[in-house]
Amino acid sequence: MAALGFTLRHAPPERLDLSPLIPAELAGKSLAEIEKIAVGTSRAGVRVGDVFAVSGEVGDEIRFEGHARLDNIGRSLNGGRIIVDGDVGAYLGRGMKKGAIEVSGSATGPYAGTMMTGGAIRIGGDAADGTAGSVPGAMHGMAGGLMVIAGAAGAYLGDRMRRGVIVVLGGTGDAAGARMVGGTIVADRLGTRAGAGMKRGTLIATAVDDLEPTFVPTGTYDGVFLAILAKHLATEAPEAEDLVPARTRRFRGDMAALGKGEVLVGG
Amino acid sequence: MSHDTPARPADPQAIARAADILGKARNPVIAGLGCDVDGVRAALQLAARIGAAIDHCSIAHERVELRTLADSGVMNTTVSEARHRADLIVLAGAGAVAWADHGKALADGGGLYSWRGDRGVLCLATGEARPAHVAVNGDVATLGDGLPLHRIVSLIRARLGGRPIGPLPSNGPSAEAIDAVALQMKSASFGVIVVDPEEVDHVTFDAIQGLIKDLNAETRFTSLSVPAKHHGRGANLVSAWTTGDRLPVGMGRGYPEQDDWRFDAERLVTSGEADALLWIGVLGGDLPAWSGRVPTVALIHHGAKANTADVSVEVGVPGVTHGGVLTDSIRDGFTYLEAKSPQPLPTVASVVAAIEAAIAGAAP
Repeated sequence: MAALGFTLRHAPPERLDLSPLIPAELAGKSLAEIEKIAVGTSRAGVRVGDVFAVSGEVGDEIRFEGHARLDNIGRSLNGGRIIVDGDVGAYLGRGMKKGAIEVSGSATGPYAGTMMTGGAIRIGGDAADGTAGSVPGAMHGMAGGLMVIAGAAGAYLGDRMRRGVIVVLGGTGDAAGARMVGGTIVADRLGTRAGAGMKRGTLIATAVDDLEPTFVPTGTYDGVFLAILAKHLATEAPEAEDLVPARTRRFRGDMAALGKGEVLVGG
Repeated sequence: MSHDTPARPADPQAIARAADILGKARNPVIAGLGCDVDGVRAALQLAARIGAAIDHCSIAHERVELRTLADSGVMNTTVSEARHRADLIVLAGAGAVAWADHGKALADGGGLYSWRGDRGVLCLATGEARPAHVAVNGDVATLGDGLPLHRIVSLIRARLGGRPIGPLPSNGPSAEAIDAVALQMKSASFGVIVVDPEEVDHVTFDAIQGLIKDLNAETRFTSLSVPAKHHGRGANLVSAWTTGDRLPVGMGRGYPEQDDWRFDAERLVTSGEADALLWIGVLGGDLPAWSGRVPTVALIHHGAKANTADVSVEVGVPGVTHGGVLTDSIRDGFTYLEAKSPQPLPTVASVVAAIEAAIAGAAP
């Protein structure tokens, strides 16, 4: 059975909201019905068939040809698999609960993985500012699941993150883990202001740029958590297994907030 | 709507050209939005008709101050209350000093409350800047001249809560100096932190509000934001009561959607998503360089220079050439301003309404 495929007829003339295009919403629909689903964001009333050639069969797997103007891919996904060949826009996997999203390119818009509670997002390129962070006015950002970013992440990665694991093979921008209350971020390198205002949670990196003095050194740490995390990543994200150091220097913080978070620096 | 002098209508040819540019656009943007309440209301109505995104040029007021208000709440007061009641004014960042000196809003100590004690002034991370026009009894205290504001705020918060801090940089303040400032703030009966949202991001603004919440466990403390430029405060209030949310708002789908990123005017134009721009800069907010990328209609004040728009319409200035409702940043409320030197120039609202009518007339 060929997966349901969406191939661009031409570059989207406007940002498209692809939130209706998840397996649970498309189940039982014919291709003709899918082509009539509204995805436009202007008065033009763009529908799926106007910009995509739709092929394959409705099932648990969906494939998109990517573009930076495609927003809300995999929003509220609760099972199945979405594969994107190319870039995506904003809100990738927003609020997803289960399933998997794989993007070969970059997440060029913000807030990928915000409010997700389960499942896995894998981004082959870079991720924009605010990835896994809270949208303005929301209580939390990412709240569960796994996100793997093969490139670099922008500023505010995991802002107000509550739960889950983020792995960044490249570096992060400014204020990664800002205001986080739980969860784990593993990166090759953390940028400035890492963990600003974090209450709980864990940041792990081989290097940190200018760690704030409200993080207090508490000695070295080689506890069982690191081994468990490395084992978890060996299964779920083998490319990131080496990112977890066996022995680290541990800093508690942010003492400006509750101070029960930690930054582990090793390598 | 009330005007002291009958306004003359705008040039019909300019209105027709503006209607043509905006009416046929797929993704129009209305930006700048520096105008009075009537102008903002008319612009929102036009946005609804043509499916435009609408944004104000006071970016920091929206993306920093109002965002934090929605994220975790904000404690703030008016300039008037700060002037009369505060026995400690904390100027956080050089922008706060510049504003205090420019407007001289805190230049005297008030006098409404005879029970208020002496006033202290504390500068946090202001560089070398010190206020010349803020009333103070005694010397101005300082902390962290060479450090970024976010670091100083975090250090004070940590010590205020009795939590430890790590090794301090050689160019930073000593732990004793931080503790002394924390004690000074805690000892105030009514403290006010003045901050310019243009100088910080939402994380630091949130941290300042967190510091204020911590201080309120033992005393009374609040904040005062440097007012948004070009009537940003009023424009966002009008948007809130009209659409249910602050700016920026998009109307492309026939209903208002709030999104800081999608409807950011500069991003929309520079990314090539927008195909027409209506710039309203009558209260300030010069036509930005990026406007040259799309067909632009500009409503500008009489005598404005360096205007490169495709269609320009000169309009009057509320409170100068005609009456208008604007926010009063001293008491943080709306007020009607009489015309200081009336001229029969068209208002923003009348021009925008004329453009909307022309578009409606041309619609099939």
